[in-house]
Amino acid sequence: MISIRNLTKRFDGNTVWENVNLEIQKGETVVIIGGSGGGKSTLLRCINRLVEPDSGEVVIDGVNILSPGTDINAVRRKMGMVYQHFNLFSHLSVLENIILAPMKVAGRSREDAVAEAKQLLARVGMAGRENTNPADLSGGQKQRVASARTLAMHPEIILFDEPTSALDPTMVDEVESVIRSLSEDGITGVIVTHDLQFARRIATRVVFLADKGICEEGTPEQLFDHPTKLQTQRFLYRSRMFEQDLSPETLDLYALASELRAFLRRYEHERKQEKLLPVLCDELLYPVLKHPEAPAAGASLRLLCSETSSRHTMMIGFRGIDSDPLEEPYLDELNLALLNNYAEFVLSRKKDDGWEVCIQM
Amino acid sequence: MTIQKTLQGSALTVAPEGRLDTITSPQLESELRADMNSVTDLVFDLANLTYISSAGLRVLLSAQKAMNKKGTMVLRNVKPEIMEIFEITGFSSILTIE
Repeated sequence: MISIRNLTKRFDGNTVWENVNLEIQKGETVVIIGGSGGGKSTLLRCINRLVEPDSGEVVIDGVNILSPGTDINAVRRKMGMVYQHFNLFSHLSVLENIILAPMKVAGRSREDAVAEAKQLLARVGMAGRENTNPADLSGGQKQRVASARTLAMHPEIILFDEPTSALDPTMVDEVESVIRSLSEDGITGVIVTHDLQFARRIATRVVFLADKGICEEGTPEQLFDHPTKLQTQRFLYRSRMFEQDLSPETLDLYALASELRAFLRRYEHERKQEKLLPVLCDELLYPVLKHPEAPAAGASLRLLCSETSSRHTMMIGFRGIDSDPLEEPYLDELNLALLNNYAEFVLSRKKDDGWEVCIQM
Repeated sequence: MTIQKTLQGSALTVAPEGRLDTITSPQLESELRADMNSVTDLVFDLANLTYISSAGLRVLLSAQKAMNKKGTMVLRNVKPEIMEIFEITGFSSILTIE
């Protein structure tokens, strides 16, 4: 369905990648991963010619879209694109965002477009939100509306550029289920993401871009569990995660805060995020792990640093507590005021063996 | 942390240095308890305080409550990073900061 042949792209004389070959079959969900600056998004954008490659061919259903005579608009009509920042029209309602292209580009009647838009909204779990302004939606909801808008043009191929990276971690699931349902309907998906967990769950095939080309490709199991190339192994296992198991008896808050700080400093970060670390120790870990009556039995702390932005996430699983650690008797208003000031947001949820707190830094 | 104390008659100046957090706050609390009975003017010199957690705030709050009954309490030389925490928590409107 999509055939990329000997594709090369240079920017200002620097080769982004060269002689890239990739065959994508109908109904596949191909996820492109790789380090920042490796040209993942550039490759994606060559598929609908938002970016012009320097040489090579991109053949879609037998048509080389790079040929001078090709009607690129006709080719693009088969393809949808979903962006990291959703790119919804903020002055239009949810419904108007969806019916715009079917009416203006595909020439369909308003009645027809509205009827389908409603079906599509139901499909992405957004029924009844037709008249909502995009500004009033959460990130996950915006991304689902963006997907519905793309589907309204009946694409055979959808290109997703970092569809989850502007979302809170808790909202990735809802977007993921929409993408999964598309592939079940035979729509071909090509997804660029830096979220490897997401890639693993959603992909039928993973392509790892490195060293100016495709370094390795395979099923998620092959690529993530048994990577054969050293480059792939380095990329996958480079420690982006700080992990520590905490117990009330051996809790050393100063050591922990300084280890976390040293780890965070290896990544892009802001001053406020460094300030969060002692606050986290004093206002969350200590009150829960050292609670005089009902201390947690222990906690597993994971700081997951992003490779591509200063949005980092911390997950703390408290074991052996029965009630929400963000509430009395563990935390009071003062603890929460300090935590919430330095974190982007703090959430908690019940798990089988306790409670998990997720902190977006 | 080190805590400098100067007692002159019924005026006590307390200067904690470093971090007033979960670990060190009990130390300040017990230092205060030792002298509070006779004190009518309590001054915290925070020139060398670099960090304060909720535990430290609670010690200041209980000192403030005690002094409300029998005298005055003021905070001096508050660094911007400490002031930020007073403001986030609303303590800047409870405490007297000079």
